[in-house]
Amino acid sequence: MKRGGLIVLLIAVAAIVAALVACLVQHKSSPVEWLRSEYGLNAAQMKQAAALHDDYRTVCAQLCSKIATTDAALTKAIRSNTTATPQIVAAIAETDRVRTECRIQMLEHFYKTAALMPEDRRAKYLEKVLPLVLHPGEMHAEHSQ
Amino acid sequence: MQNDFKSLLDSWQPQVPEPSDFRRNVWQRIERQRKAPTWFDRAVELIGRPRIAVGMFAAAVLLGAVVGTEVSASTQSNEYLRSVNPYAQVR
Repeated sequence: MKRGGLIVLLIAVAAIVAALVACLVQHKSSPVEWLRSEYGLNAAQMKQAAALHDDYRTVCAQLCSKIATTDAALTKAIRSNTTATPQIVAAIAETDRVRTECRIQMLEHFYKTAALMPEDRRAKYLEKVLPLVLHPGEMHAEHSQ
Repeated sequence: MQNDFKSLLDSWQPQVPEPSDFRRNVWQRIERQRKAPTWFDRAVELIGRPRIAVGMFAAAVLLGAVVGTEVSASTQSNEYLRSVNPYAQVR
């Protein structure tokens, strides 16, 4: 009985250790490294994808900042009024404009990145990333987690 | 001296009376031992065999690695999506 229990314990430990090791190894790689392994990019494509990703990260950070600023302005306007004033309407329009800009920038980045990939992988990549552009309403639900 | 000891043993009568259900209890215990092993007993016995144990250990490691890889792939995929999504960085 003790022997059986010990072996069951060993198996459980082995499974946990293996899972942890696999997770740690995978976690060490960057998002671009994931792109390479998932979509089979060669060294040159990987280099271009990394450059694209870095450039886009700058744009992404700016857009992020714009979203935060316009959202804050809208929140302030809504809380300091009791009717839909022109200021509120303008703030809403501005949040929409920024989000539209955001979606366009994302889409452009995804197309550029997809163009670097082997043809048979492009559709798979776009299928993965396009929901971010197609369903922006769901993005907040995801982000608030 | 050995003869003395033998005669002493022969003459010795235990003073403690045997319980009336002694034999029945003994047979009950024997019967309990004879009962067929449960599936758990069989499984433990099977696992206890060295070859099976080594095989299961290897299978567990493999399974752990596969599960770990799948989980981390999903994590990395989400990480990438977050890295390209300006909305994700707002909150």
